[in-house]
Amino acid sequence: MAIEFQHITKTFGDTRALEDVSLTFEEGKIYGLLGNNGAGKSTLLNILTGRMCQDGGTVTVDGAPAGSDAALSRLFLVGEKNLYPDDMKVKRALDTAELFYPDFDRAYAENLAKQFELPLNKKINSLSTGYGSIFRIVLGLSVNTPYVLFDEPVLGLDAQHRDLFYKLLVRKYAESPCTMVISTHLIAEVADLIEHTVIIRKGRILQDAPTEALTAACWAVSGPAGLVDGWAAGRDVFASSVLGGLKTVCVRGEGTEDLPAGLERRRVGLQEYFISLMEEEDQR
Amino acid sequence: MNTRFGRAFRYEMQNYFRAVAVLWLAMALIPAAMMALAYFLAGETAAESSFNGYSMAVGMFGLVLGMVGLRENQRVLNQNGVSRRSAFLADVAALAVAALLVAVGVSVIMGIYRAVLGSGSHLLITDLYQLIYEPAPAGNGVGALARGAVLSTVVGWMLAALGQFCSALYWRLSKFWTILISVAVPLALIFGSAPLLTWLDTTSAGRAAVEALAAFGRFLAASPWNAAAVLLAMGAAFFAVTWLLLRRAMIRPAK
Repeated sequence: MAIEFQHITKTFGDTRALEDVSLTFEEGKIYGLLGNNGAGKSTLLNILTGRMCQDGGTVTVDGAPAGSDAALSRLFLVGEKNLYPDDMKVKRALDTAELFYPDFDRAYAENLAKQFELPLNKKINSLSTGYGSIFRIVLGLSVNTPYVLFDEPVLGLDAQHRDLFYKLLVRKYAESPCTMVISTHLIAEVADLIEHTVIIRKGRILQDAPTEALTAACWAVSGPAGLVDGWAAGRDVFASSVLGGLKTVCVRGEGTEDLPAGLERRRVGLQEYFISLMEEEDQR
Repeated sequence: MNTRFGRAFRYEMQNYFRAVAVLWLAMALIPAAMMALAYFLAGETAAESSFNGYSMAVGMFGLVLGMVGLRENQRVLNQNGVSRRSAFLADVAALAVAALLVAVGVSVIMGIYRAVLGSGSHLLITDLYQLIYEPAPAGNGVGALARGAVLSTVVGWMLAALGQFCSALYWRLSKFWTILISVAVPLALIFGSAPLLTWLDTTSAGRAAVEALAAFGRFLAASPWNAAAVLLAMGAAFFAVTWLLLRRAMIRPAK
């Protein structure tokens, strides 16, 4: 039981948005789908939800072809924008979700709306950017489908509401485990949530591994520039930065050896890993 | 029945029924308003006034519903886990039921007006069926009203298909082609009519075309069932082409 992408390609005019992408989202995990703007994250999710057709390759949801009723009924995309009619009210959107998703938890949705102070009688298109996101989050957390996809879910949300969303997400996952895919630019905020990270760049998958495995294999070593350069020579350095006389390099390796005096070592966070990886790719 | 299709059909009928009810109300009030206006302006001496093609509202209703519903339904149903195929089929079915409801409602309203006003009324209401196939008094019976309702339903469904086709075509066209067609079609209609009429009148090929069209018109006018069959075939053809345009269209949020 999984979402499987096999050899997906998609082009828009001269732009190749996805190139031979093969990927699996397994059951019961929280995935992070990370990438810069234009990397192909939304294209991938749009193909999965049948909003867009791929040029080549196959996508299946628990064996059913993407875009079919069987596939679509098993997932819900909390997208960046609304696909609801202009004049639809929040309450009617909940009615609609209730009609189509047998496991939709209406009481829970209304409770969430209350917590976020989302007005049920307001028209969806009159909601602010932040409340538009909240509206979609409420639906996503209440549908109870085996797969829930979040594409930039916290767009326009203030810090307090973002924090509330992450807490609710974790609680929901703990109570009824499902597969969640979170595509976001706010990597540091979700780093502790995501179990498995997929990094996509220019339509190609760069990394597809457990988050722990990605970050545990990399270290940041910092200290005076001359000392760092001397230590780093011959090592697998994939990113470096200089601030004043202080230099930091990110290296791949076990990180168990002793460092010369004056150098410090620390674990690389997911955001730092992502940025370093992008810089490394930029230099290629 | 596929559950997604069934739910999509239910959702669409809920939406369309509101529009149907508004149209029923409007169609019930318009003749009354006409009579009130005539009485207000001329009192008892008001001349006879007529409301021809009363049931054409069904066609217009279908056209508008077809045009505005396609993209909106595809968006909201995709968001709620319905494939574009099921959403489209539900739309075709819902439009047929909506056209039937409107046609039957309009025929009933017309029948009530005729019954209440009687034959000596200053207001004469006729529908498309009466105009072409069964003029009053023969066309005033319940049977004629029912036949008129069937014809109106088919007209409404066919025009809904045309509306969907136009909507799907514009959905798929690039900005360049959208502008080109939007400008070229009205210009062709304005400036192309006179040369076309001249061509039809002065050339042998044109005269043959006129004769063929006249024969087709006679075929349609010979029986309402001929017209219904042709309209059904046209509707099916428009829906088929719409599906071909729709099946790979990108479902995007409204701008």
